[in-house]
Amino acid sequence: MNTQDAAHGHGEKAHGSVTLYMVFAFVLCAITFLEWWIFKHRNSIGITNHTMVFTLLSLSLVKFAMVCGWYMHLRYDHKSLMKLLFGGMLLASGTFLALGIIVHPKECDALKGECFKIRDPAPAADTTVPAEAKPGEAAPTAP
Amino acid sequence: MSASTHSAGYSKTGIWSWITTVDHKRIGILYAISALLFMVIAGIDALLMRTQLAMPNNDIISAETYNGLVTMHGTSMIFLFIMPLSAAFFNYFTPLLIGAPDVAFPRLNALSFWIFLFGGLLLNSSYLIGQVPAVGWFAYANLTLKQYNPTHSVDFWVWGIQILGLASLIAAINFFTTILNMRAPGMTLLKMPIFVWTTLVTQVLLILALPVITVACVMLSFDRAFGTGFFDPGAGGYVLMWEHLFWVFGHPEVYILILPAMGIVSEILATMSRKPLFGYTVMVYSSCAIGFLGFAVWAHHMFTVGMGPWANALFSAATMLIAVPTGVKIFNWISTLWGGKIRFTTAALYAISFVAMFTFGGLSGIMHSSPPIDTQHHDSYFVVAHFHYVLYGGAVMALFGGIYYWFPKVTGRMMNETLGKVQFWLYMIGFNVTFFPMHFLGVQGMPRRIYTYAPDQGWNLWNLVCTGGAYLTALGAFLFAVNFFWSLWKGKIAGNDPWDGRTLEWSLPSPPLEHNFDVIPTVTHLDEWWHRKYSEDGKRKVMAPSPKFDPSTIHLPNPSFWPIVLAFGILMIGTGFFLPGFGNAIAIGTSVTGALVVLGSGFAWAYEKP
Amino acid sequence: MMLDSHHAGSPGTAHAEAHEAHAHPTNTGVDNRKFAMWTLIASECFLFGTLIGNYLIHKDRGISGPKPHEVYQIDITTLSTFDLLMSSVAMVLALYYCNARRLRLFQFWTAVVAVGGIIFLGFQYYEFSTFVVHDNLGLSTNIFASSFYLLTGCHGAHVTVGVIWMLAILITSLIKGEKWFNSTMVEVAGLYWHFVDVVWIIIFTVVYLFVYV
Repeated sequence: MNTQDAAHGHGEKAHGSVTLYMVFAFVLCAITFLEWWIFKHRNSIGITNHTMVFTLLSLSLVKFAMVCGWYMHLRYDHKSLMKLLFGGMLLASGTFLALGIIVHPKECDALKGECFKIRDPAPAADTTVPAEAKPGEAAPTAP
Repeated sequence: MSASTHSAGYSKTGIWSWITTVDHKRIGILYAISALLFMVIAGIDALLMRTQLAMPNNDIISAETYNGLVTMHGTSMIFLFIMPLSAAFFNYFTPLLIGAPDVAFPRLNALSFWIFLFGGLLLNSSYLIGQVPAVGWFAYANLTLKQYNPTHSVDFWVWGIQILGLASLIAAINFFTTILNMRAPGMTLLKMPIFVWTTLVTQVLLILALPVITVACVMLSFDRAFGTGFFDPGAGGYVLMWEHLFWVFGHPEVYILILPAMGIVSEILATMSRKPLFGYTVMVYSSCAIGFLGFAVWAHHMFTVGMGPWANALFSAATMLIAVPTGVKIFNWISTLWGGKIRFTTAALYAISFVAMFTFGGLSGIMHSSPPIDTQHHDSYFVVAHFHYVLYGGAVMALFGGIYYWFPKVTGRMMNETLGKVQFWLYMIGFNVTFFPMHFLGVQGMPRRIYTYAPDQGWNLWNLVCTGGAYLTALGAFLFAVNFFWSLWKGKIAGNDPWDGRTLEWSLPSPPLEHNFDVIPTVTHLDEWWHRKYSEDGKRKVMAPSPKFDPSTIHLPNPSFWPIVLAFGILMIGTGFFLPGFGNAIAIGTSVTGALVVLGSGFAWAYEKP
Repeated sequence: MMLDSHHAGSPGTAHAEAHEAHAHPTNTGVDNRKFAMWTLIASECFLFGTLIGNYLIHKDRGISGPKPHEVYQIDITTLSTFDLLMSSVAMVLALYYCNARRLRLFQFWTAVVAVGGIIFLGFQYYEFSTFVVHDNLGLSTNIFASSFYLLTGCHGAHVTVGVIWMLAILITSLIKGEKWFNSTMVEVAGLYWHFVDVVWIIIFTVVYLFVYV
């Protein structure tokens, strides 16, 4: 494998090598497989929905960080680029989390930390669990 | 006008040179002219509305027409006048203020302008076929759905906004990159002129807020074209979702309108009082704070929809918080004037009136931040008074001040000060006579957007007064046009630095040469040009002779007509959505052809020598 | 592809190549085109933020027609996620060999990226057509379907743009050969491609794996 200095013609530090990229590729695949496995065996391993949400979100954030940090070499780049990405992400996440809380007032009590209301905790096959529509909420309360 | 020295083998004059131009100064001029023309249309809308409302039970125009005028007046004034006129200042002055030869992406800059122009024309072409959107500038669902608006009126609005949004987004990315990447050596972030700072914050707001309205508009056009049910409660849709998405975009939009104006006013006040801007650093931070908080207050437009006490309380608090950086700015402007050798030029009058009128509008804004009070004001003329004080008394007055201030730099001639002052007072008096009584009307319970009213409501007198004020303002606008053209031909020759300015653009000839700076300046101070002219104790320095430069080193980007072609392709994609009436084949064909034009011109663009 | 830096020229031209080595230094030291791409990415955060938020709000509000857990084929989506991740790996390798001036390897990995994107679009076509034909879940069947198609369709449109971009780079490289190692343009295209991949990482978790959440 060619591991010579890749940062040719750039003012940047040398970053990344084929070996590193391949290791990362393997880890990315492994995490994706793990996510799939957790999803498939969520009932048999008795994972609660809260834990599952936390675990899967964390895993996807690890993948996110790996791709952004190394594949997009944000780690080695100018700080302002990192600020751009995180500024956009955090502001967007905050905005839409707030929006979700506002438009789901009944399901979600922000102050009690129950934003992700979990349905289907029952250890049953996928198809037996209905995710009820809530037509009652379609009409917002008018003042 | 411009005495350009370097021929790149294409004509410098004539219509073709303007169509293919990638020069940020020419594009700025194009933006300004288009914006002022759209202002005339939107102003006529306003006059018609005020004429209708002058008397109770008036029937000069129908209810439907009135609704159309309300919508087009608001939409045009915001998207086709204030934003592009601000963009004209960004275009012309950002590179000059930061000591750059051009913007980062000259052809993208041209693309933004053409997309904007086509979007504006698309929106206004609704007049021609008599299907004017009549849903308010916010186009609340579900009034916009097919069953309530079966004609193409709402499509004009949706696609107009969509295309205008794309133009703004491209321009915002361009200017953001330009400001952060192309400053002259030595110009650190805190040595940038304050107008560049407010421009920067505005671009951030545009970059982050525009995608939200883009998605909302896509959802609405899907509802209308493909029968989805995003905003249809019957299909499980959530009507308030539109309001939320609109205001998640719409409140940053308010600061997109006002921040450039704040920057212009800061520049004018500092120059005209011959003092540095008071509390420059605090001004910078408060601009950033306003920009950030602007994302956290959208729901204060929706206090009456029943979001619950927590949401109301938190958004109310966030809204009140915004008053802090805004108030800081107002005190800084006053302190800038304090003790200065103030020259009451027309530009200064406009800037000072901005501070007063904006404070006034800000105070009624603070009143709205309290949900119980807002519930009383909501949808009344009190709100109309409030936002006209901030947007007209604020943003528009500042932009006119900016025109008076920078006209000499752009054209090489001064605007007539006497006419200018007459026009200023006509505007100032006309504006206040129009909008101050609206506070009374609002408190007396007159609702917004009504096309007429009964004579026994006690609203007759003030409505008549408002209408009188509107005509006074129109007279002012006419005088402005007279002054503009007169000064263009006959105005006093300005020279490089007519106001004894502080920032780098005044070091250049008026109008500046096509390549801007012979030699890129090296910056050592905030208010660099002032520090080159004067020593710390205010004595005039002997200026160093300008360094020699070799004209052959200047690389000017070549003109390109691909931007206008690509913009036209985008217009075609949007237009396809209007044409199902002519058969789906024509509609889809138009959109697909448009997409191919975009693709083809994109490739031609990429392989063209810039 | 539509970026034209004042200093660094545009892609696909010898001009750009000539300028790249000694481009005008920018304040941040980052090339204008690259900076603009990161700015666009910040903007896209809000675009996809809106779409994902919209999906989460609407996914259980469908009144009639199939519900998310009745149609999603997690196994197949896992495969398409894997495919997109691998195309990202190909992308870093393409950039690596572009920087290393290894023409054939650069072209090979660029082609792999494009093929990976096309395979992903194939998966998406399969998924959408199964939903429509097998599950009777059209765009306007219910609000879940509308918000789902809007979100994944928008992502698919981004992948399509990326594929076109990759093919343009590949064709340019095939025509110009050793003269064209426009690293900056490849890097910018790569940033776009990785971001589209990153968005899919989020979508895979939040849309597909959280189907019961």
